[in-house]
Amino acid sequence: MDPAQPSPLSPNWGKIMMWLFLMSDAMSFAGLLCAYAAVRMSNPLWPVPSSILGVPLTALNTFILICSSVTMVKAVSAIQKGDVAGLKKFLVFTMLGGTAFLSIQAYEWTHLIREGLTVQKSLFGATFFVLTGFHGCHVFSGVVYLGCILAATFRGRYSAQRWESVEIVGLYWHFVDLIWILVFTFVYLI
Amino acid sequence: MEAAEHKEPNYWGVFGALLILTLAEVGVFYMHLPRLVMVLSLVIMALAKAGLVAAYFMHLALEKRTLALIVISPLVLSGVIIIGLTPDSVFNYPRQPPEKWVLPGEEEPKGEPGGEPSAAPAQEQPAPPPAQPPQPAAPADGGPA
Repeated sequence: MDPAQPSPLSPNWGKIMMWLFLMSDAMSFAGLLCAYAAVRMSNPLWPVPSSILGVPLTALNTFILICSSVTMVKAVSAIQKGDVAGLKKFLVFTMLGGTAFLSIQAYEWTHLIREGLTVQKSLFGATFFVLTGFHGCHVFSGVVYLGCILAATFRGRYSAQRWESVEIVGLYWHFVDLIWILVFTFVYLI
Repeated sequence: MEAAEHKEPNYWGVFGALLILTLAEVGVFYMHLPRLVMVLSLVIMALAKAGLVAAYFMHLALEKRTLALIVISPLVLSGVIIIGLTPDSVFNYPRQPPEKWVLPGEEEPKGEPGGEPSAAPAQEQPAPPPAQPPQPAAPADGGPA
């Protein structure tokens, strides 16, 4: 590359790397969602999802995840102003939101499995558990990732001059929220 | 990062929009609209929400244009997946044809006189395909996606 040209990766190479990871991750979700659509459209006996799944509880879960996205942007803007205490507080809120989401999902899964919906029982069960499970793994990883950032915050790593990593964990977290918006619509509502 | 580069968007406004769209989605879901209208409006609202999250929470609208191009260009490939899978799902429909088709004008052979002649032929199958859920879901409502 011409050295006079500024690199497209500078100064935020970490952010661009996270975006590239998220796009490859988006492709795996796109593959799963498209496979789900193909299986469902070619199957005339596909049940109405809401006859099996609970929409109100999942709508609440969607709300919780959107709220945790808001606390995440609040965490980033806190540290951009140098407010370390605010960063800690909002990171904890975000992690609580993610944990609440996972708990409700665990409750929902337990309920459905007790009622007889399993991965191997039907294509409906297979697509449901794979899609929500793959997303749930992302939420779990996100909570762990946020925990690492929180630990680094307690070690005094971030300041008004240094907050790139907080913004990057935010990108990941918002992406998980974005995917859930699509999964909620395509798996539960439609 | 210069301070000018991250002017804060109105996060509460975005949150309100997401909340309203979520409520609208659930509302549309419970309104029992025609299937096509419901699916189209739900897809449009979901994409609008996803766009809001990407543009404002993920700051895509506030970053350099190059980053948005880097991000959006691979998504073209997901359109390729859809095009690649459409023939499989649309032209194979229904994958398992019923043993005997009942045309709308025909009498149902060996059927009960009180039976619904307009019922979907797929329902007459004695053994449901493995895709049927374990719950006694009403398959008559569970039309194609």
